Amino acid sequence: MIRHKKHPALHDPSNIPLLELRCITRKFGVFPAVNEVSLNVYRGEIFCLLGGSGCGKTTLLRLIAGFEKPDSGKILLEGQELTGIPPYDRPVNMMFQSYALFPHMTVTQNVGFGLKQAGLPKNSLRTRVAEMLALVKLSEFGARKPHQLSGGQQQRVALARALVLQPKILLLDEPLAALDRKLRESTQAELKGLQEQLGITFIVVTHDQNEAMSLATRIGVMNNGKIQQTGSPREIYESPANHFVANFVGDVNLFEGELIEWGPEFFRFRVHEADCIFRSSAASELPSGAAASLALRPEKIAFSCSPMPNGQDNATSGTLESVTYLGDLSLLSVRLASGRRIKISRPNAQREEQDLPSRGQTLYLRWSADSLVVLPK
Amino acid sequence: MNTRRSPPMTLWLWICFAFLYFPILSLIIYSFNVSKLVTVWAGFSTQSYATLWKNRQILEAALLSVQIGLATATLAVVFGTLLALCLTRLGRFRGRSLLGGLASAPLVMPEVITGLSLLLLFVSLEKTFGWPKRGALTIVIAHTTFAMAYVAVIVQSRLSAMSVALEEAAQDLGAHPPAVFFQITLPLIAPALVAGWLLAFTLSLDDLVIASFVSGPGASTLPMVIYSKVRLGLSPEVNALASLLILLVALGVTVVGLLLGQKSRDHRVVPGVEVKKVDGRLDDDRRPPIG
Repeated sequence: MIRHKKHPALHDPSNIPLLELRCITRKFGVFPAVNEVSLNVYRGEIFCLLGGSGCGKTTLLRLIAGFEKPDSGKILLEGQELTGIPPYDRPVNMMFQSYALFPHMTVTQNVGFGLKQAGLPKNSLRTRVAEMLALVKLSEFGARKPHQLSGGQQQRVALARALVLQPKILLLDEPLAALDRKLRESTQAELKGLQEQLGITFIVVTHDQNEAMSLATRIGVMNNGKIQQTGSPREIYESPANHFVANFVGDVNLFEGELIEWGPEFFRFRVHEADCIFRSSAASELPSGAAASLALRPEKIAFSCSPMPNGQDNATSGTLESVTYLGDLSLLSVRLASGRRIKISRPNAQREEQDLPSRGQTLYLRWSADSLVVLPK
Repeated sequence: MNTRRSPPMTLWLWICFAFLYFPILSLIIYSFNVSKLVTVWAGFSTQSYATLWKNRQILEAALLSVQIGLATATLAVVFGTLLALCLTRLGRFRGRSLLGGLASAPLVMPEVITGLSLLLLFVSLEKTFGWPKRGALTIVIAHTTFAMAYVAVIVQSRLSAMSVALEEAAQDLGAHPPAVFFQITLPLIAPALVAGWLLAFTLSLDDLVIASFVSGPGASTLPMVIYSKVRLGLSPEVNALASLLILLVALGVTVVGLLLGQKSRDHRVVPGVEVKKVDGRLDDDRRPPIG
């Protein structure tokens, strides 16, 4: 069994969650956008809600911000009930996907808006805004209107505006979706740095798994209004809890197998599609003959051109059908005798092309018992 | 933008202009006619303007019309904006589509019907409660009911173009609903309010049919006076009056246009700062104001 290092906050049983969602349901008509979701978020985390469009992640965020009211369930912040409190009285701030900067106000007025509502005296308001603008490196832009800024600058104004009130939790709705790739990478790093510096808990909604992986201390994968799995990025990727998570996060080869034999340290499955026996080092309790899904990541498969002895576990062979060059790695598609295709990825360690086998060649594949994930049906 | 038009297009443009403005131009020219007969040109004079100035009936009617227009426009903007807010921001509530339909009904309802139904309403109200007495007040009420619909349409389109996220962001930053309305919503829909106010004022100023129905003794608006005068034969005085009205309206539109234009330029450029185009994400304020 692969063991993952847990986030320190989760280790400590005495640690009370900062935010607690208890069995939250929100229906639009009869359709539950959020369906009986329970979730704990701890102080100092960057928690990412990851999921496709329409999975309910934004609705969940809006429930925490107070723009939606749950049909049932409770939201607790530091043990205090938050459910009936309107958005303007919640110690939680949100950065909108569209940034929602006030177009008729300057950058300074935008950032100072929340402080002005709180009735802060003019002098300290000005200092706080100036500090915040310095923090997001926008000091010279205070007098500009939002549309006179680039997308990246607008994003930083939105961030500054939400952070200046020192919320207990900052909610970020697709914070980087509108930026181009290069800018997104540098902004990710800035966001992480800012979070560490200020110690504010972040909850980030994203559809982009790379973004979730690189930002999050923990990820909650959502589908159909339910959280499918929560865990560190490594847990999510290496030990997906079910079919959906395995498929949604990263590339995967999924096989249908049936349990034929097991011992204290091994489980053997017959997989007809691959015409071989899959041997796994871990599986939850299954009755003999039970069907299970077996997930195998493309980068965990080793291949060679020279034949291997027959009848071994976790080994099969097929014809190389195509090679897709992606720069940092190449994707190989191998067709097995049964017609089933297997995806294999491999880093391009060398610059020369002859490093890779050519199309039509027979490849012999193998993988370790550790790399196989057994998913319940 | 500096696109060159082809000669036939230019000609067509001038034909269209002529079609639109020639009647107005001839009216202005004939207001400087010496002759008492409107259709015969006998030389230039400003005589008719002088007689107009001495005509108390016309001046009083003009004053009344302007007063009714001001009251109508202001009331229509208040109610029309409330109506538009109701239709765009309250989500789905029972009777929403009925309200929407009723709000836009005055736009398509024949004026005669509106006038008649309002007259019946006022008459029966007066019988039962002794209020309202027919006169300027009933004209204001009648004008507000239909001008409100126009304001609601204009404000509604502005509100639906404005992202709800802006109002939510303000709430999220601690602004209570009244603060959100006065600090965020109102400034952003202001151009629509100005346009709606002007439209309501103009509609009230030139309405003849409804005013004739609901007016009482002693309350004659300018269109009513002009109409009754024209029935007795055209006079250069009426031409002069019309020319003055055109001047007034043109001035008003120009001033508002300049103000709005200046405002959107302010939003666009800060002196000495070159504005970069931001990946096509323009905010509402760069669009020309409605109306």
